Amino acid sequence: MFSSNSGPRLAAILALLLAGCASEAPPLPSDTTSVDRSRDLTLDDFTPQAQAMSCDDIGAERRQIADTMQTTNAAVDANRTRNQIAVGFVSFGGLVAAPALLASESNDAEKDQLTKLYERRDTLIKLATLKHCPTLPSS
Amino acid sequence: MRLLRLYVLGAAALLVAACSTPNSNARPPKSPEVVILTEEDILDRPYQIVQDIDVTVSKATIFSDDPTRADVARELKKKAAELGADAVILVRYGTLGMGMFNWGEMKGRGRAVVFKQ
Repeated sequence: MFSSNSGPRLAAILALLLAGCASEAPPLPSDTTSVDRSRDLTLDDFTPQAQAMSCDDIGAERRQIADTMQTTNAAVDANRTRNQIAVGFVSFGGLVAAPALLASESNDAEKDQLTKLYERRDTLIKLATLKHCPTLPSS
Repeated sequence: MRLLRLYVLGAAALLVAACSTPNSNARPPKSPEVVILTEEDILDRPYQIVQDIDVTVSKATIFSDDPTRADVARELKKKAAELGADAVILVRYGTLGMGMFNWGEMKGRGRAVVFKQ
């Protein structure tokens, strides 16, 4: 069924698929606002730096996070096309895998950054709740 | 012997009763159009958590369009509506990429909630 050079090709396809695979949505924060919450938030739940932030500071950082998320997602999406072409080349052309592997991009750094941005955004949402800041329009 | 028969009948009745116990937490499904979706928390209305929900939207073939955040949002609303939830809060998205068994997928997550009067 497979030719003698199908092993490396399959390995290359697998490597490319893993490089360009979808990431999980970041985990949800613990519940501190529903009617069934186990406890209320206090300022002690935040770092001293976060405690000192004003509503304006929180709003500004949240807008900055939203902009960074948009840029990071755009970077991941841009590499998506490149990864698809690389997979197509190895799967259907299949002669030289190395250039396609070099052309693929895993975006691990961007995915880690997005997870951290969501975590920070969750912290700021909770801080804004505690400080009774006005809510920002959803991005 | 009579005692044994009564015991068996009683056990059978309990089993049947357990099967027919209604789920007091079950909520009637809603239309997805009325479900509120937000990346924020909702603070101006008290709510109860129904369930944290996850969805994955995949492209059917290599020639289909890549899934978008709008597709994920639609699926989250649909799943929340099936649970009878009023809103999905704290919505977040994964990155677009290839799935284990498809050429493209995007995942999403949120907290389905129901408002308390």
